[in-house]
Amino acid sequence: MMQTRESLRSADEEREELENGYLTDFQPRMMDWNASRIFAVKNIRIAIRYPTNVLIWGLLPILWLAPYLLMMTAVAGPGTSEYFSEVSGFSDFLQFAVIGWFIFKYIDASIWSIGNNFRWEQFSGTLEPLFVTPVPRISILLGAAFSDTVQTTISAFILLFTAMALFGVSYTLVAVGPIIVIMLLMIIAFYGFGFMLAGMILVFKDPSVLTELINNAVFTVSPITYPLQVLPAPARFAAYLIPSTIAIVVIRDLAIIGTYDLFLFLQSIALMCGILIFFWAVGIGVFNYGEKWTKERGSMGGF
Amino acid sequence: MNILGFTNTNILTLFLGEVIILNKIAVEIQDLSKTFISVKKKAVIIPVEKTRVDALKSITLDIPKGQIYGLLGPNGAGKTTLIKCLATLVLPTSGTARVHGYDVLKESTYARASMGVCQGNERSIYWKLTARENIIFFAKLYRMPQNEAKERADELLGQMGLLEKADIKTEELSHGMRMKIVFARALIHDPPVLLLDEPTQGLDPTFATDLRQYIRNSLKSKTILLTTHYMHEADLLCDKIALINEGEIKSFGSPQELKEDVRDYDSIHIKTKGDPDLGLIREIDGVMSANSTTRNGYSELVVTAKDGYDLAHHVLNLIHQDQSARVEHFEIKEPSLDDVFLKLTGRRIED
Amino acid sequence: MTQTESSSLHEKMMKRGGLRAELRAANALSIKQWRVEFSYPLSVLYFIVMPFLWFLPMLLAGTAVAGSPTSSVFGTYTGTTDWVTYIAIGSAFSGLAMSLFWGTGMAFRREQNVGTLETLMTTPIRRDTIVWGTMLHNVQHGGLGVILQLIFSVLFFGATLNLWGVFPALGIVVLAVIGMQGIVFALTCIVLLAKQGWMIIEVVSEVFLIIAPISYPIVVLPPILQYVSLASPLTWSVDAFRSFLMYGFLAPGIIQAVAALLIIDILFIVVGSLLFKYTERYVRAQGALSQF
Repeated sequence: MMQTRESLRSADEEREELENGYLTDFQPRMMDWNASRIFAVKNIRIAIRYPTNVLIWGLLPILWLAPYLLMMTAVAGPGTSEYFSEVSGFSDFLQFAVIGWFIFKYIDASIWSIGNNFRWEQFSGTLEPLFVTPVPRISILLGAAFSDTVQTTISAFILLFTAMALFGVSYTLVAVGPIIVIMLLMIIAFYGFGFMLAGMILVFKDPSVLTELINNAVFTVSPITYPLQVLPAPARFAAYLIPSTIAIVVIRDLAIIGTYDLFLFLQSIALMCGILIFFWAVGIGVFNYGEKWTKERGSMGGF
Repeated sequence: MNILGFTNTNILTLFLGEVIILNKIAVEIQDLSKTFISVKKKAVIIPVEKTRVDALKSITLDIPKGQIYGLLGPNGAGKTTLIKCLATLVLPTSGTARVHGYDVLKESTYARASMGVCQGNERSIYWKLTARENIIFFAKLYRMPQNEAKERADELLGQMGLLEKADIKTEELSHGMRMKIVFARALIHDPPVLLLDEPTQGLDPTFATDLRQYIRNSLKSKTILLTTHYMHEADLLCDKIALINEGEIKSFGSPQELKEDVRDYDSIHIKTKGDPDLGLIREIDGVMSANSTTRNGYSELVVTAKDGYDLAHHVLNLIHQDQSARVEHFEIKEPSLDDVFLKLTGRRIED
Repeated sequence: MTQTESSSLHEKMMKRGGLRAELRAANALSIKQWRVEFSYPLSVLYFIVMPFLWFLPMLLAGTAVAGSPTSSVFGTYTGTTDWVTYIAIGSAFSGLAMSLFWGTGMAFRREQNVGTLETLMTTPIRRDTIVWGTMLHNVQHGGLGVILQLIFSVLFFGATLNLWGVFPALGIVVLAVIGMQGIVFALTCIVLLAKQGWMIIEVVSEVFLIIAPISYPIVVLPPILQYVSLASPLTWSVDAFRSFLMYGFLAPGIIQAVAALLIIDILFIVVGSLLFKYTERYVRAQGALSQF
């Protein structure tokens, strides 16, 4: 009897102690912003130690994308073609494509970096320690996404300036403000897209193939090197389901011509907001489902 | 006979190999040294930091045919490097070694064909293949045609008691079963020499016992070099043991010889409830020392003597008469290989 | 198992050997790789869709500027106005090249990652057989991809092939594989020596693909790159492969291409093999096989 009461009391004391400390205000949260911030800072700190990576990731896409321009040159002759101007409304397909590549960097990052983030953590052996912390996993992803945006932006500018120099194209800077607004919306929408992929990758244990498939499919339907108009109608519709499509179209107009119809611009903004909300909802949903799925089957760490 | 693959020198070495086997030396290691130089670049700037690690310092060891030799030592002592040098995975800095008469540097193909290497690493087989597919695959690398490879797989898996699991992907098997496949893999070509690097590491006791029994009973005719840091394993299996530390063989002999070298007394460990009178125990004839530690009303008593078995009943009687203490646990410890190691190097193996 | 039986097992193995044993080992490596790949269900799907995914963006980009499946500009560069067929064959072939560069170039790293490289190295096969065996797998894998992609191109995208050229084109594949194996040996060395070797492989293989006439003739390249291109086995093999498939047995310029390919092959395979031999020894001397 004595002992029981004693142990009861000590348990009370313990609880009291805890309540005074860290666990008082601990509650499970949907989103732990602080954790996201810490995680982003960690990733950026690591990235700074390997500065050449940002450079390489800025230059490598040129090797992937240049063949398209060389092929277009071979098919149509240097720089332009009647048919191209007719379909796209732009005269120079080099100028048309290079700004597309700039946006492509962000598409690529959302798929490879955010979507595959847990995989990279797994490679470095830090996935399981991360998963046992009392932090919502989506917050970790958000932190990763943010740090990736910082790196991607640097790489994307390296890509843009190098390609501009290589192919001798230039853009107007009249409408920087609207470009930034659209870019921000696109980046945030891509976070949701990345969450969705991360969830899918948790379920399909075959991340490299899945990622390649999605990456290739997204690249094919996106108006990066060619205008949407050359796609068959269903593919064009699918293209609008990708957060970057509207952004590419608007940014391309703003960067090449310098103006955009105000009404159309506002309409695009509204559409982007809609896509943003859609992808965040779907992304968080798919990710949570994927997390639950793997937990039920106990295959979290293994992939 | 396939003459095409054999040049004159090969026939000569085959012949020499026979001579050495007649001499009954299956593994011959002579002055084998390995120095690792790791270069550390400091950031991108040119100055580099070189660190030198002498993993093996002029090791010489001959293993007669049919004997099991053990390499015992703590992590980083050089055991694995020695095995890898013999397995032709690492080139030694200097010195030579012959396996089954074949020089591991000059006739590495023949040397590799003569030995089975089992690195106690469950990752050394393909997890995406079944046990049978794994064995058949590796059997073909040991030059067997499909039908022979298949037969051999059945035979080996049967010996390991894995026939029922033969068609399940290895990733779905338990750690112990995977280790058995790893072990079976090393036996595919029925090599005269086996190099076993920590074969029972991380195995649960039943599997480990199975494996040890297999080594003792079924591999009698093989020459085996075994590394381990389980002392009782070395004690149980090995004819001779080389204690290795910092790349050198510190001591060599049969387990019994090694233990006799280190001390010629036993220790009696007694756990009692209550505190026995140490003074009385120390007065018993033949007791060399007696010490105790007391905690929570229990005492741990350590008594040393020339012959522990002789003395045991004296000590127990004494405590029995002494009303203040009751014996809960009693054990006589002979010197272990760990004690040998401690004496030689100042560190324990399982550090 | 009696003693005599067991020792005969080992003796039998010692008596075998030579080229036949190495071929058997290479084939085993290839089959093993197929089994491993098919244990990932999605990779099977990828394999089927891949031809579409590589070819589609190219086709779309071409359509965006040409507007039709023929182009007179293209005709002045290449001698054929049928740019769709030209690109279809080129990009199908590039699938084989990618499969060899990546699949075989990274083979050592893959085996090392799963933990089986050292086990392979303790078997009595020659070390370069590991590379040849993986090459065998990737020729089968990549070759199947080429066939699929060509069939798709004919069925869905209006490419036209001359069936008389199929057999000579296969001969070109053999020559192409030998030259590319030289590159693969060099890539394997990079993987063995450099921690971030895959990045170098990516750059090297992309450069080889860019300077090869896969989806465009090399005349559209800057002049310096055109010269570099002539030293690449890929350049000659893609051109010869396509010429056979487009024009049949009597394809123009084919003798020159085959002769050039033969010379380049010998150069590449000799240099590649030597590089591999010395690198493999160097890595073992460093003792870095398990931790590179």
